[in-house]
Amino acid sequence: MVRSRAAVRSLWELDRSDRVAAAVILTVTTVMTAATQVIVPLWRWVTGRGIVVDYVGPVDAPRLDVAGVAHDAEGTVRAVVPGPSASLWLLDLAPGVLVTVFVAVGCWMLWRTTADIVGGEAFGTRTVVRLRVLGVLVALGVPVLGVLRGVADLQVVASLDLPELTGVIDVRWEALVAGFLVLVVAEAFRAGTRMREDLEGLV
Amino acid sequence: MPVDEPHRVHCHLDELLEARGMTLAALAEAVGVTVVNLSVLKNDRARAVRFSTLTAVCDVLDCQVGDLLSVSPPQA
Repeated sequence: MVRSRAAVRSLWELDRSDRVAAAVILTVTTVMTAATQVIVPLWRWVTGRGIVVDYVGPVDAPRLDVAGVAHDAEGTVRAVVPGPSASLWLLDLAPGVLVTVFVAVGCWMLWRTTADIVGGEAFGTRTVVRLRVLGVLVALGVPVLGVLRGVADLQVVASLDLPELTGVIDVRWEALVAGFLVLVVAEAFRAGTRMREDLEGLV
Repeated sequence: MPVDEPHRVHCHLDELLEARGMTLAALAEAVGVTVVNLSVLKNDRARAVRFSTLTAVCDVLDCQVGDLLSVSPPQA
């Protein structure tokens, strides 16, 4: 069966169901981020469990050794640091709280933009501002939060007082490209907004 | 030279209509443009004017574009 041109075009158009789906997905994303970044660590703190941290250190793999398979002597390992102090818990929680705030703000901006597009108000100053904020959040926020997470992990690992271990700083440089892409889209919307304003004043 | 917003173009439609004893509605009828759009032009709220609109207005009012529009000097 051959789809009509109008039917194919409607597949690409955002409608009310897309807006609802976006609301559900973005809400779940925000809730899951809050759960994994804030609520779970808080729960571990309250119930007296340790801080989960990734560290780089010596790795033993006896079965690989027996099989004669070569492997790195060092690697990234997830560990649970027992009995951390309150200040260490707060230090570990801070990046998670910031990540949650960033994700919540970003999801809100994205949802409002989707809602405006569905409502026929794609080209407006508000959309441009939201997309610019979103672009900056992605381009700068993600790498900065990666560094903060790494610094916090370094402190947690340092509390073990084992010199052979070190923390991991994972900076997501691809976020710079993604953020730049959003900023380019924002600029396109700015041009569209200006064209709409010109059209409204055309006699 | 950068494009300044808001513009400084002033429309003299009021004076031209008064001199010819014509109403805005009659001009709109003759030109084929809505009264609302001509009102936007008359009150300097237009951001762009089609050459076809200018031609029709000048034809009806028997004037030149320079009689209809002028640019105010920049404010210090």
